[in-house]
Amino acid sequence: MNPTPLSLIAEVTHRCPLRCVYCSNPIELEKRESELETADWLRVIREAQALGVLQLHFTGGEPLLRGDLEEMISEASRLRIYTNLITSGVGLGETRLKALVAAGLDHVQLSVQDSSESGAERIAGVGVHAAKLRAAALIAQEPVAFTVNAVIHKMNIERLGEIIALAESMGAQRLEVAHTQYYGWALVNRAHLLPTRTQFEASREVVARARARLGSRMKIDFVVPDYHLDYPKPCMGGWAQKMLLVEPSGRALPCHAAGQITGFARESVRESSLEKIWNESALFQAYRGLDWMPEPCRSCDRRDVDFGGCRCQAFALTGDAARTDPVCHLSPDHALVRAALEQTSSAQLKYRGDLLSDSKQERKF
Amino acid sequence: MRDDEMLRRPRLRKGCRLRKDEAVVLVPEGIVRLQGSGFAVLALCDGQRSIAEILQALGLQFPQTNALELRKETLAFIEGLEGRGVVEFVA
Repeated sequence: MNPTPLSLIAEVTHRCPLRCVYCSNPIELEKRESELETADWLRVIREAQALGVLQLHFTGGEPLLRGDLEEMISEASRLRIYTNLITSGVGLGETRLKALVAAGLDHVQLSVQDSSESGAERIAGVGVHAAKLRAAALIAQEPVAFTVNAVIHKMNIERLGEIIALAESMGAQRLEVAHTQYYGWALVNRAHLLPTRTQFEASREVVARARARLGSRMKIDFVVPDYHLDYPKPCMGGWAQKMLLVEPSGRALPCHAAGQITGFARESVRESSLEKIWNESALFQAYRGLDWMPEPCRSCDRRDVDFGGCRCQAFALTGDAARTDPVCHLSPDHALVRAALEQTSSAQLKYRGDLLSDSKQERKF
Repeated sequence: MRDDEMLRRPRLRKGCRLRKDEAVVLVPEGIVRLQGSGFAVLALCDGQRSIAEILQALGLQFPQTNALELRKETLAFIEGLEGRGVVEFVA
């Protein structure tokens, strides 16, 4: 008997005005022409509700670039699904925000890249900091939950205190201080982003002090960088256990990064129902439960705690999604993570959407 | 709990929503499952009623439950949800 998914992550577009160096989107970004139509998304939302989904997270890219977001929120709201908009805030004027709230939006999660305009521009590749400040002032006035999300890495970690103060001044009721997870563009730029052990420990202290000061006024969730831990994270609460994701073109996946794992057929909501994919798809079944586990996970006391860590990270680092997450100090591949921690940045910083291979470009001439 | 604390009026914070059919409160970072009198308590946290009034209403709804026990559990439940950012007190 399969578990019930509680959340659907609707990646409604890969288009985004920002070009963040830490973006978790795949390197091969999907084009507008391949995106699902409104009717497809409305059907997906109904199918998700029938499967047991209680929360729907609209993300991207920038979900506001979909003019039909209000329709999707409205359908979810009719089905009493909790809706969350994960946004850069670019394009979130008063009229649009009020329309989204009227449609039933419950929660806005606004990203900030840094505490200062120049720092944020260096990370996002474009100057949108002022637009975020304007969006925050509007969100704080509305009857929705307001979270600020700050992804932390070497390029902003020294200003974590200022970033927390910024979120406070924006009127957020929650702040997520999320150390970068290394997928997609973040993995490409890992040597520029991965903080040192000392920086990580310092960030933990900054958060502890802020929590003590703020109490329940602004709650801070802290996502730690797994490269610095002894054991891996219990990724997604276990493979295909609690949530699923639909990409802009309709491919259904157990998580953001699962599309990179090779050897599985592409299963799209255009051809199959969400229920069929959740219950029968080879990709969803592959790492469900504990049977797939190799040693040292299979006989480990923690197999029910962290589920062997992240399948996508195992694939990205070793080429085999069925290996123990190399972050674990017991993994035979742990040297890969130790080497990454010692690596210094030599390659050029790549902004999201940049061509990755310079040599290919040169061959054109 | 002191007398002035019994006069505090709890309510769900913005963006926290009760779903009776599922016995949950949906919050920004996830789902809080409600057991026993949990749903009844939160349904009374409307920012109008004081904690004293909530306890009184619960006493009528759950006449079988020991009053001291109900009071202890309810206070711990509300405090716990306040710590998790689900409930706030109206100033």
